[in-house]
Amino acid sequence: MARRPVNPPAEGWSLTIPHRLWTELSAHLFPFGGGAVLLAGHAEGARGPRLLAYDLITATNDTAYIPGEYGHRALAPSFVRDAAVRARDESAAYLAVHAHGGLDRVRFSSVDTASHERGYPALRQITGQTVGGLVFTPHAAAGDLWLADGSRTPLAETVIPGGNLLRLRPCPVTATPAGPGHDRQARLLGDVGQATLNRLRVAVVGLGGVGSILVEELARLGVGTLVLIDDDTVEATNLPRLVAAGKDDIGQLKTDLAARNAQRANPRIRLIPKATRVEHPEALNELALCDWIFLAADSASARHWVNATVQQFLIPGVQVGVKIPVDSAGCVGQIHTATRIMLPGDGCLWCNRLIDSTQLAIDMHPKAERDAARYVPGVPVPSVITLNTLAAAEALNHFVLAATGLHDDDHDHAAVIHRPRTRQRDLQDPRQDANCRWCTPAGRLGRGDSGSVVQTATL
Amino acid sequence: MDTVIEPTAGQNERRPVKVTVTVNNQPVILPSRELTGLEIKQAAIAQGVPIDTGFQLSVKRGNGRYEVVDDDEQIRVHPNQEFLAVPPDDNS
Ligand SMILES: [Zn+2]
Ligand SMILES: [Zn+2]
Repeated sequence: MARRPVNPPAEGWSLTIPHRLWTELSAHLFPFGGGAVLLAGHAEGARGPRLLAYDLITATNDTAYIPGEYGHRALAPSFVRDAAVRARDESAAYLAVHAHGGLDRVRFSSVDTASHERGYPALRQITGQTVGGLVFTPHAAAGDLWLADGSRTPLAETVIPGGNLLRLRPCPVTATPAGPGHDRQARLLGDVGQATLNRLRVAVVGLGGVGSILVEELARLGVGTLVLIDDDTVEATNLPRLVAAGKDDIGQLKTDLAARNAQRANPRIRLIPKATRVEHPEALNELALCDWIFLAADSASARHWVNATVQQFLIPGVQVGVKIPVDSAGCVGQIHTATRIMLPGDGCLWCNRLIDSTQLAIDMHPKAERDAARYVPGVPVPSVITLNTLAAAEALNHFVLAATGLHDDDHDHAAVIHRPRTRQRDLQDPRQDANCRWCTPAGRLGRGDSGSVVQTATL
Repeated sequence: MDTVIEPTAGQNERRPVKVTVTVNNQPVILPSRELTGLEIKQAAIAQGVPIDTGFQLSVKRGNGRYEVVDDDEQIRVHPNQEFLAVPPDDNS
């Protein structure tokens, strides 16, 4: 297939479709053209309001997708009614979908527009929600949204976070050349790829050994905005692993150190430091506005809250961890580093048994109680900068290639496990529980503002 | 639930009554207890509901499901009964 255009993030209304739904929808739409309705939650985003698709209702050809009265094809009224009733009952946006021919460009026909004008005021009244029409080609998307407040607006972009982070628009963007500073990098990523990085808002949760490397490299790559989350301060024993840290930094906040390094790497970067735990509502609110989340904190609570944000707000992320088993006799076991891609709508950290609920319960208590609840006093675990670098590099490369559409496979999002002692590198596919209450439509997937992560956190 | 007290049998059918139902969540006053699907749509259009007579009308039944009401199908309506009217979504 022809190379797909890379589009930098657009200002305005966007729709995000989890890659599994997109796979299902694409198979239904292309090449012969079917009809469907997407149900979507809602959330605010950094560049405008976001619609978050969580379920797909496909119209069966000949019964629900029928010859049209005015147009070529139509969604049958009973199908429209039942989908609108679901949208109403679930407080979801109703988005009718069909496909056009072509590849890189798409626009509504006059029949499409007339049909929206005839029907969407009524559907908006029935649902009390945003309703709209979407039209797709394999590389382009356009949308016509009728908002609950009575206004009407076009959809600026459709985002599909998969192995690549796809952004579909009505027509491809032409980018202005990257500045001379990023010329060499743009020779791989393209000017649009570089512009994409410049417009992304990326979070790093945990600013220790792994997080400090992530921040340094993200800033040098030219990522436009970094959200930095960690409530910890620098200790003498951290210095060997924190990028560009000095003795004067001891006792300072890790967010301050990370912000200083990011600023030095890129004076034009926008920084949003939050010196709190990730479950603090201020931190969660900032996370929910991001395009990508790096999880480099190893507590069960950080895993849980980032996982919840990924699924509920459809924000892709990557979890980075290093495990160095050394027993009391000094025996070194199988060291491994793990880089796990977290995609909305796919096997989440709960499904993959990567969150310990007992540990999570302890983590959610105040610090004094946390310490008292642990059977054994915390013993420092081994940590070495080179191992952190291995895991961080894997995560950063995945991110850069995904953001600029350079992965060979749109769907491959296997975790990478390195075992440096045996020099093995393995891929591990995620598993998913059929009714997971985080990563499936039966749960919080794509529910955005309703059932807020923040609300839950403060319970 | 229909909480209206039924008038004595025999005297209600000819007497003009006003029944308020909803069409697409909007209150619509109907001039009779027995109307066709088309008449219900026409009443809703006259009262400003943004639909046209080509829309498909459904009535909500006691089990919570919607049942299509044809244009020439006469049905007995009761106060607060809920109707939905949707178009086919044509595209090309
Ligand atoms: Zn899950
Ligand atoms: Zn069309």
